[in-house]
Amino acid sequence: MRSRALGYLLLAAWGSWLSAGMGLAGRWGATSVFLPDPVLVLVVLIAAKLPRREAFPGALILALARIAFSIDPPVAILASYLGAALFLRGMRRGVEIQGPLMRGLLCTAIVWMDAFWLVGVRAQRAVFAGDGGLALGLPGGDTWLRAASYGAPRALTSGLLAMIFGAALLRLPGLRLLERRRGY
Amino acid sequence: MRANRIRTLQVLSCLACAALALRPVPRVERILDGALVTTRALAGLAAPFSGLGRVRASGEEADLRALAERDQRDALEHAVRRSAEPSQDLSLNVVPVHAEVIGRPRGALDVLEVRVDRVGLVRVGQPVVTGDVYVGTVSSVRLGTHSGARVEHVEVSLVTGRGARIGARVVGEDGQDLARAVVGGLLEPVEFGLPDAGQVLCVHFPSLRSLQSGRAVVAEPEGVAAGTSDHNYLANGFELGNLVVAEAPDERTRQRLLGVQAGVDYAGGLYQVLILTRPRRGDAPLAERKPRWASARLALRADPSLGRAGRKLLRGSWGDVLPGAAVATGVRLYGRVSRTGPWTSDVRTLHDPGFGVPAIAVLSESGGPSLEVHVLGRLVSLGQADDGRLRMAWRASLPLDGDEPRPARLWTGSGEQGMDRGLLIGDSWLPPGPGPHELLVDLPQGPAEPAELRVRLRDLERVAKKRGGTQ
Repeated sequence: MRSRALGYLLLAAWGSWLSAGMGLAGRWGATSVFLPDPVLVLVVLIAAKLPRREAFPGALILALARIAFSIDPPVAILASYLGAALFLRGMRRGVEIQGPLMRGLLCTAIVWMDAFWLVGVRAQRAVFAGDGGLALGLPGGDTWLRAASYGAPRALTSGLLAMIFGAALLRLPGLRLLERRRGY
Repeated sequence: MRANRIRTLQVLSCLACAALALRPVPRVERILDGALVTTRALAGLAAPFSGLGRVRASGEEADLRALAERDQRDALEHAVRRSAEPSQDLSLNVVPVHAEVIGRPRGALDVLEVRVDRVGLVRVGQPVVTGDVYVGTVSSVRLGTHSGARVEHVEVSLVTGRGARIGARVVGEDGQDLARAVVGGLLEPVEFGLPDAGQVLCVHFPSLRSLQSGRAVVAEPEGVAAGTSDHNYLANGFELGNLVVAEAPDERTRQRLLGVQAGVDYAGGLYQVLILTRPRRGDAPLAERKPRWASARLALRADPSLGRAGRKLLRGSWGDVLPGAAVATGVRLYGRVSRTGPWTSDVRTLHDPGFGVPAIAVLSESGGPSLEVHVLGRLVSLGQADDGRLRMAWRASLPLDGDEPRPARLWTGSGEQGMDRGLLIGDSWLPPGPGPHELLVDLPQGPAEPAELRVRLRDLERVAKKRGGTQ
């Protein structure tokens, strides 16, 4: 039990550092849309490879780490991360998702959906607050198409990260503590 | 069985989060913010990275520039206060009282909340003006304290309100009376062939329907009727705006609608107003108002969310930070607080799409300094342009006259919670004519992150008692 708690603590630390690193790297300007989202990749990897009951608490901890640095609404981040974990946990019952290709594809889809979801939430909240589409400020075209294309580069690089370095990410110090099965 | 219950709870909590994300419920979000105080500890884990990216200003040139910006801000303050005063002398029986617009109570667009430093003069029913334009009537007065000084919080019902009515006369170019009417409430500007951003006041019961043009000015019968609190006659002669005639007749009445094109931007362009009061003996002295600021520490000078430019401030509502509070470096605006938790706050920087701020432009003449002030209303950020400048949307409810774009220095206006007038936004060229326009703004600090930041704190004010009704 103690080792699991330590595992969660270290997961929170890694989540915080990866979120902070992602934010700082995102200051590189136009190329920032190609930066992968290692925190969401970690959510997918935990849900896909660690014991199934770790998917929800793992996603919750990583969502909190992301909330600590992001100004997106906390409920939107929680919904995205927890939704991804629950979806993958359910999927694991019938589909093999541990292989590199499958986790890469799933990661691409989930990161893309996350970007789409957050842009949608911003647009919806802007309308709710009376600012209209003006608040979205994305370049050209229809709002939802823009939202879809906006997250595509990050989704692709995140998929590649999960496919190539997925196993290495799960070997970050402390995360192996979560791999141990609980005694009943 | 227990595992099934836990799974069901997990799915339900996820769905609840999704629903709340799309349809925010402020009370639930406040509770959640309280529950998420642990994220403050997680933000602390990144302390080694928190200083990355900042640039410390140094050198004599930077000091001189900061001094010059402070001088310009002081000059702007004088210019704005002067712009609230009428161009002609007031009657000796009228005492104008300066009032600072501090917000819209309960989000009502047709009501202003203003703070008056001179206590004891303002009464319900007194007229409120800015420059030569009438804007509304005092509807309630509360006595309170602000930074240790006694102040009054006054609500002003704007003439745009559904039930607002003011007597008016329409005068021609030569000053001759053309008709009398009652003015109040808003009409759709498109009916008059005006852009959406325009504001048109409704003309009721005109004594002459065939009017084509003219200028509407306040004309209320003098003297307060017994048992009423109507002092609007003090504003007689103040302008309401220019008369406009609808392009097509009204479907119901088959008559052409008459309106008055507003002389000010009631939605976002009122920062400093004058309340016209009657003189009294023993007026209280003017109290000095000092806004409270504290140094601000950020968790990180970056945002991991795609397309956002936000920051986490390591100070929250328990540290007197309120939503809307300005975050600045020196006299330059850095951003505004968008949400507060107990220990942390979210800051939207100028580059965050959707960031909004009330603004004033000080127009320059051929590159030289001037103090011609133009109220811009609310500017909304559209994010960073490819060349690093800031894109901002300007509705131009009060368009700029002329044919050529004019260089201007943009400053914050007041009138919103937590926002002080006189914080520097940047330099831009203002296009003439009706909006909306997109402005490209050069920020004084460029894209660099400033080393030292400060945040505007909640005013230390306590409402002592409420005064209302006829006084």
